[in-house]
Amino acid sequence: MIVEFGHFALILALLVAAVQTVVPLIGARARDVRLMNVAEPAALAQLALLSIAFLALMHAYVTSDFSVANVAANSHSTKPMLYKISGVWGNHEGSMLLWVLILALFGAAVAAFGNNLPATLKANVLAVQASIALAFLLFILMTSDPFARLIPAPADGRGLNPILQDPALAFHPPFLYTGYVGFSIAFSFAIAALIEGRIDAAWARWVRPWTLAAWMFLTIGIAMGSWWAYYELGWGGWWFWDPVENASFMPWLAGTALVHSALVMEKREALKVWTILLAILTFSLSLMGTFILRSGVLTSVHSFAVDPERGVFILGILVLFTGGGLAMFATRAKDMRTGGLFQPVSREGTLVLNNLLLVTSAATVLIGTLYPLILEATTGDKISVGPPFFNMTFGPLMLPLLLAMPFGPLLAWKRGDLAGVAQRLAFAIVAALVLGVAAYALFNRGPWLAPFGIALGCFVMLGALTEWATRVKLGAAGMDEVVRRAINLPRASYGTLLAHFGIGLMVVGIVGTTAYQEERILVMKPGETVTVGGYDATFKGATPGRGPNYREDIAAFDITRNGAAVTKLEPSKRIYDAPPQPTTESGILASWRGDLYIVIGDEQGGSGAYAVRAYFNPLVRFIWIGSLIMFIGGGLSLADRRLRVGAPVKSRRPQIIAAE
Amino acid sequence: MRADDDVLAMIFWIAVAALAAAVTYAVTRPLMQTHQPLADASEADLAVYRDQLAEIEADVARGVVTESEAGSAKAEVGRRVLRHSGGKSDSKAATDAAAPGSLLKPIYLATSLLLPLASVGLYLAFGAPGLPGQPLSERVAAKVDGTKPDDLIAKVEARLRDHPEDGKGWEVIAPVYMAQRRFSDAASAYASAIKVLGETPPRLQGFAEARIRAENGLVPDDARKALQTVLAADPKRKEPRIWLALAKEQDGKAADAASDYRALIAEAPEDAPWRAALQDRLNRIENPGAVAGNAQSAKPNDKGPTAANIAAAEAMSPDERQAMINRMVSNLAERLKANAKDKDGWLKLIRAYQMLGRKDDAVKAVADAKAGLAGDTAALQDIDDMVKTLGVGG
Repeated sequence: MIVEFGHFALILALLVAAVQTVVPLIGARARDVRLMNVAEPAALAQLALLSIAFLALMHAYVTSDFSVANVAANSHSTKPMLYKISGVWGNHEGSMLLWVLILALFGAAVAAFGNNLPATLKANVLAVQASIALAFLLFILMTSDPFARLIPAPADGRGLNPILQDPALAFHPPFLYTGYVGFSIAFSFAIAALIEGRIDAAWARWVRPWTLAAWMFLTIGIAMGSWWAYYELGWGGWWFWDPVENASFMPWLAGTALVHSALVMEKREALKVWTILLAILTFSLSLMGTFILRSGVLTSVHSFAVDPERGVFILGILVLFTGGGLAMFATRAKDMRTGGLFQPVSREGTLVLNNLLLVTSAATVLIGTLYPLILEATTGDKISVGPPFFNMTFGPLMLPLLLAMPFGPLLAWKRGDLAGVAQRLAFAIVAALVLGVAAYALFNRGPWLAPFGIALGCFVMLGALTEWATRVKLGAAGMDEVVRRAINLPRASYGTLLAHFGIGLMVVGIVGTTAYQEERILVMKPGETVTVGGYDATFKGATPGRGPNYREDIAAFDITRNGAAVTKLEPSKRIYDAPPQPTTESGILASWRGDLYIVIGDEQGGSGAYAVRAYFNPLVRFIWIGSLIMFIGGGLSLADRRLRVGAPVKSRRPQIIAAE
Repeated sequence: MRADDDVLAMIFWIAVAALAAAVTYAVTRPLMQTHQPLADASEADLAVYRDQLAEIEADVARGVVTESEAGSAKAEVGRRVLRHSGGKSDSKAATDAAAPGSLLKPIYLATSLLLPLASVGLYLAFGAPGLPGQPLSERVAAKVDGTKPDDLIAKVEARLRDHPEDGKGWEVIAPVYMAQRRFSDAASAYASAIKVLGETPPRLQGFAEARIRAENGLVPDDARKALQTVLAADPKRKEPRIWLALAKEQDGKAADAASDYRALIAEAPEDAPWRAALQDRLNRIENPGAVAGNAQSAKPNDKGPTAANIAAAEAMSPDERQAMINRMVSNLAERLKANAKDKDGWLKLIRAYQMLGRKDDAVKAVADAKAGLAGDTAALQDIDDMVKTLGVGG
C-alpha cells in the first residue's frame, strides 16, 4: 500500500505544481495578494508530497519489493543495505524523482525564507519554479513512472550495475543534482525579472547565495565523480573529457561566472542584463546535462532512437525552457535599466574578464561535446573529440584566467591601481617562479611547460594569501591589530580566499600528475618486482576470494621503498553475481608526494602470471583537496551574515526604521 | 484473507482522501482570506538599500573598510535611494485598484475541485489501486509456489550462496540455467560442480556446451580443453567430436573440419538428429555460396540438445523454440512408456515438467516412475531426492 500511496502523492504533486504555475502568475498580473499567496503553501505541499513519494520508493527498495518494476529491474535481495538505498537514484526513474524532489526543496526554501522579497517577485519566481517541476513531473508520469507495478513479482531483482556499487558513486548524484537543480532558482529569478520588466534591488542579494549553494554542491559532486573514476575505472586518470563529465562541467563553468557577475550586480548594480542572461544559460546547460545523461543520446544517437519517447520529451523540455527563456530575454531585456559604468582596470573589470573567459570555455566544452553527436546524427559519421581538442582549446583559456585571478580581489571597485596591486603581488610572483624552478630541478623531465604550470598554480595560491595579508595588514600593523583584523574579516572574504586557494592547489595537482605521471604496463609472475615512482612493488600472486555479492581475484603486492617495507597493496578483479560483470578495484598507496596506483588485468596463460598496470601519479591528491577547499570556501561565504537571507534581515528592520 | 484486504484497501483510500483534502485546504486557504492592498515594491527596494547602508556601517565599525571607501560606497547607495524616490510615480501602484477579486471565485472553485478530483482520476488511470506491497521478507516466509520455476531457482540459488561447497546443488541447477538460456550462469554452475565433485565427462561436456552457447556458438578455449578431456576419457561420445569439428571450422581449418564431419556422418546411425545439420555444414564448406539446407529439418531427439539442435534453436523464434522443447519432452515421455525401467529418463522427465511449470504432469510422472521402477530401491531413492530438491507437488 505504501507504494501506491507514494504513487498518489506523486500525481497530487503534479497537480499542485500546475496550480502553483498558473494562480500566482495571474495574481501577480492582477496584483491580488490572495492569488499570489497560493504559491507559498503550494511550494511547501509539493515538497511534502514529493518527499512522501521518494520515501515510498525508498521503502520499496529497502524491503526488496520486487512487485515494483523499477525495484525489480535495479535491485537485488543480496545487495548490501547501503546500495539498496542508493539504488533508489541509481537508475533513470528514481534519479528523475530525486531531481524533482530537490527542485521542490529549493522552491520550498524560497517560499519559507523569502519573507523580505517583494510580493510579485516572489509569486513570479515560485510560478516559474513550479513550471519546471510541472514539466518534469509530467515527464516522469508519462515516460518514466517509478511506481509501475510488476505482477507477478519476480523472485529476485536484476541487480544494480556492479560498477556503481561504490560509496563515492552511490552518494555523488544527490550532490550533483543539488548543484544542477540549484541553478533553477537563478533561472526562476531571471525569468521573474523579465516577466516584471524590472529588477528589484533584492534580486542580486537573493540570486547570489542560491547560486553559490548550487555551485558548492556541483563542485563537490564533480570532484566525487572524478575521484570515483580515478580509483574505480582503473585507468589511472582522473578526468577523461567524457560527455558525462562535460555535462556537469559546463554548468559549473557558467555557474562560476554567474557567482561572480551576481557579485558585481549586488555591489554596483552593474551587469544586470548580462547576469540575467547568464542565469538563463547556466540553467539551460544544467538541463542539457540532464538531457545528455537521461536521453541515451550519449552512448549513441542510435540508442536515442531506441527509446525516443523519453529523449524527445526531455528535448522538448530543454527547448521550451532554454528557447522560451532566451526569447523572453530578447524581447524584454532592452527595457531594463542598465547599471553603472566602470573603468576596465577595476574589480568589476577583472570580473568581466573572468566572465568572458569562463563563458568562452563553457562554449568550447559545449562544442567539443555536442559536435560529435550532431555530426553522427546528420551524417552518420562517428568521430571522437578527445582530450587533445580540450587541452588545445581549454588550456589556453584558463591561462589568462588564472593569471588575472589574484589581481581581481586586490583591485578596488570602480577604479583600481594596477601598478600598486602588481607591487603587492611581487612577492607572490617571485616565490611562484622560484617554486616552478624547484619543480623543474626536482623532476628534471617532462614537458617544458610543466614548471610554468606549477608556478602558475603557486601564484594563484600565494596571490590569494597576499590578498588576505593585505586586508589584515600583515607586516604593516602590530600583531594585536593583525589578529583583530583577521577575526573581523567577513566570512565571505575567507570564502574567496579559500575558493581561489583551492583552485591554485588543484592546478598544481593537475599539472603535476599530467606532466610527471609514470606508467608501467607488464605481465608479472609471482615473485617479480616492478619499480615505479621510487617504490618497488613485488607481486606475491593472486588468490580467489568471495564478497557478499561477488567473487574476486585478489593480487598481493609488497611495497618497499629503498629496501624498507612500506605497505601491502591488494588490487583485485571482481565478478559480480547479478548481473555478472567484471570490475577492477585498484590498489592505491596515497601520500603527499603522489599516489602509487596498481591494477591487475587478466591472468596470462594459466601460470599465475597477471597483466599489471602500475602508475605513479605525483601530487594527484591536491586535485581533490583543492575541490574540497573550494567547497568549504563556498560554505564559509554562504554562512556570511551579510548574505543570509530571510528572517534575520526582517527582524533587524524595525530598529533601523526607529533610528531614522 | 479477503477481509484483511478489504480493511487495507479502506485504510488506503482513507489515507488518500485525507492527503488530498489536506493539500487542497492548504493550497486554497490564502484565497479565502480578506483582500489586502499590495505593498509597494519600491518599499522592498528601499529596505534593501537600508540594509546595505547598515552593512557598510558595520564594516567600518569592524575596521575592514577604510572611511574613504565606506564614504564612496554610502554615496553610491544614497544615489540609488534618490533615483528610486524620483521614479516612484511611475510605479504600478495605480493599477492596484483593478477589480481585485473578480477572478478569485472561479479560481477558488477550479482549484478546490481540480486538486482532489483530478489527482484521484489520474491515479486511477496510472496507478494500481489496492495492490499491496510485496516485500521480500513476506514472500520468502510464504510457502514457495512449486509451480513457479523462478521461485525454485531462487531458493536453490540462495542455498548455494551460503553453501558454495554443495556440488550436488550446482549440478542440479546447471541444466536448469541451460533450459532458461542463462548460459554463462550455467557455465559457472558446471564449473563449480566440477571444482567440488571432480571432473566427469557429463559435467565437462555440460560446461563446454554452456560456454559455447554463452559465446553465441563460438567455441572458446576453455570449452575446447574440456571437450578434449571428455573425448580422451570417453572416445565413444559423439558430441565432443561434433563441437571440436565446429571449432576447427571456426579456426578456418575448413578441410580438417570437413573430413571430421564426413567421418561423423559416416558413423552416424540413420536416424541421428544431428546428421542433417552436419551434412548441411559440410555442404556449406564444400560449396560456399550455395543456399544452405534447412537445419530445422533435423528431427528432435530425446538425448538433450546437440550441436544441430542448438544451431537450429539459435535461428528460432521463442514460440518455435518452445515447440521444440515440448516435442523433445513428449518424445521422452513416449519412450518411457515403452521402457519404464529407465531411471535417468524419468529423472529427466520429472525435472523437465517441473521447469516447464507443468505441475500436474510432474506429479503424475513421479507416480508412473515409482510404478515402473518398483523393486529398485536405489532408483526410488533417487526419485525421492529429486522430488524433494525440486519441491514437486509442493
